[in-house]
Amino acid sequence: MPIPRSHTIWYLSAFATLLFARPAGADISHRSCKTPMVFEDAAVNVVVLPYRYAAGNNSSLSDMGNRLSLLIKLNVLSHILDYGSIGAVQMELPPGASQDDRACQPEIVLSALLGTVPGATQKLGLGHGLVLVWGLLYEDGDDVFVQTYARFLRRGAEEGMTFDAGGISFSGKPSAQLLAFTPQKLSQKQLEQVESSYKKADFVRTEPNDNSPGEQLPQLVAKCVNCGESSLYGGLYVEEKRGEWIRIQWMNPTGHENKQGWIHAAGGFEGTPLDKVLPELKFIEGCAGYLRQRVADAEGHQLPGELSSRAVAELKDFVQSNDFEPTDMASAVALQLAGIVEYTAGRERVDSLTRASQDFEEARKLIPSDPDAITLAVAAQVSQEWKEKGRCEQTFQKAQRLSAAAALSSDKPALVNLSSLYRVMLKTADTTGSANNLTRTEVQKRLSIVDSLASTK
Amino acid sequence: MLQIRRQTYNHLKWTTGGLRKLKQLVGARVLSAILSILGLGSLGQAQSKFINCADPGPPEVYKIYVDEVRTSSGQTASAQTRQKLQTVHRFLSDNLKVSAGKNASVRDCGTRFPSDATDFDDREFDGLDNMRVVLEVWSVLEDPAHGSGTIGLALVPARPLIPPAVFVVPSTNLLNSLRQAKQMSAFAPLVLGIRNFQNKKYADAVPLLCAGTQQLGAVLSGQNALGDPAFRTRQQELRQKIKEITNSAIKEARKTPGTTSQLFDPASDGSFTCPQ
Repeated sequence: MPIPRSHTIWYLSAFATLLFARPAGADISHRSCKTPMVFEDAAVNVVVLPYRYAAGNNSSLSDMGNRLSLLIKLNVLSHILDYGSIGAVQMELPPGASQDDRACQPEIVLSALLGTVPGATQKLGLGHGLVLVWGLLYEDGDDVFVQTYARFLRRGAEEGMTFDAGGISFSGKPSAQLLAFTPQKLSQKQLEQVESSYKKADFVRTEPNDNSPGEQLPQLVAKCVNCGESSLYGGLYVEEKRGEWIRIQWMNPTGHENKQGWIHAAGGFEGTPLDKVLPELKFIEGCAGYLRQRVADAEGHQLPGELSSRAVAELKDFVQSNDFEPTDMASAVALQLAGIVEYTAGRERVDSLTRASQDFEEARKLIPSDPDAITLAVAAQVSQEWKEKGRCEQTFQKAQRLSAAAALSSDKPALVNLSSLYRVMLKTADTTGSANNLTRTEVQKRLSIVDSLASTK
Repeated sequence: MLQIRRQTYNHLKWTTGGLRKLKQLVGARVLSAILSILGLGSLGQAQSKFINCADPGPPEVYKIYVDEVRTSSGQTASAQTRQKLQTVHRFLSDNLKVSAGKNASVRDCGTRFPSDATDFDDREFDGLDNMRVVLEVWSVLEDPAHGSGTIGLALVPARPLIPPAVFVVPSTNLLNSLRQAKQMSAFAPLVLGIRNFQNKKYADAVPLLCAGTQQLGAVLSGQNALGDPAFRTRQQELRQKIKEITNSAIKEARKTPGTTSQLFDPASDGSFTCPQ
């Protein structure tokens, strides 16, 4: 593991600077979008950009956007701590910047974090995962609508997945890595709860109890900030999670002493979990678990089974709660990520592949014309059937679907998948065929066409 | 600037028909490039009944115009109402950006706004078509207190399919229905697919047409179906037309040797459809 601590340590990042910032506190340094950062050694970083007010300048809603993004990040962080090697960063515009300043635009921050443009003080590590979250706020009378966007990726790695059937491989990938979620309505009461939850999270307390003594972090952060940016990079280390609370430890740079305390990270809205109000947080949490699993898998490790199961549960919880738009791309992608986690968690087990196959098929039904959704569904089915029965069933339907996927995507990997399908079929195809199955001659004819097309690509 | 362009336009006496013929002769892309070089990139727009898009974007890319959102009274709006108008605009713009991806550039058209749907006549559509605009969206807040209003859509390449290809979606609460209006972004792949079909880029058209048809189906079905029955009926007609051109696109694409469209399996009647 890249993190040099004897026990699992998680980073709690510069969000602390933001958490305790006062709008008028011009002297307090915040993690500015102009100098973005992630924790390079963390396997997965979740970066939350400010939720912007959709209609120009409104200082109270802009503050609200910062506070909401902070609460969102705290909530997500507290739920994904167990995955280990997690970094979390919240960014905002520097004090005095115009709301029209583009520094916090996701594409600009992302380019810096990936190192394609200069500006990041720490870049995403090669092969490491990132969930970039941002959003918009819309006001309607007493209500505010919140729309979240998320993009996920691993630096320098594709999100592709391979499946095997009798030594012949197939590849597939999620249908999208940039998602717009359904806007959620916050009532006036919930807006007030954002404020009160923020105030509760504004303390580092001696015990995990809102009534225990504590101190506001602004003073601590101010000291830290005065010691220069480098001390911030070490961040705050999360040592323990207990219910809605996390215990953090940090170095007080001026006193050269270790300090610790508790933050009420997942207080939600007066006891209502934040992800009940904003179900997309379940997606973000599950997506972080997905990325953690992919990073571990790429490094030849395995996450404990309960963590994989948790990621799957979070993603499926999101699908259930996204019933407003049951055919939404976000639901389909959530199912695909769940399927990939299930598959990678137990590559050699047929039951893992069976569950993954069911998830991919469910996603395909939501977006039946999407070539990536078709490919994942068919590839997993073929692999599962081969492992279970040593043959491929309903070959006509599979050929029809994967042919359509190849035609829609028009790329070489899609043709390779189709060629692989026919080669698997040829292993067991008979001469007579049936209503649902192609004959050997038909498969050979189709394979010949595919190989001919592939040779021109 | 607009005045100068109008004079230039009058001086050259380029009629809409002339432009269309020229476009047929040299191709839309070439014409667009020529106009751009001549500094007449917005010539098509100069014919417009309403003002040019403030940020029309580069000539070579497909574009989606997001116009100003206004009150129906046209009177100066209160600060609170202005916020609502900006909110609707931002919402439409951001969701269309995600939906269009790299296929089209979403442009903020400033104060451009049609006085009514009839502003989108043949001349206007031709101008938009020359500018490679595939979709134009605007919105009217009729009752700021209660939030009722409409969202308008001009599906530029769809005009020959389902004239006038201008749709107005009513809503009793515009902001509240923005949750549904996220699905408005379904029209982005649809119009891009139609445009590719019209440009005879059949293989490129098919995936967009299929994605658009799928998303349009989602928009029109279920308890959260978008718009009123009249709107949905018209959209079902459009969906049927799209199915027909998808069939044509696949058949045409299959005529080119070496294209993956040859992999589509025909139905028993020989027709082709998107994967179901």
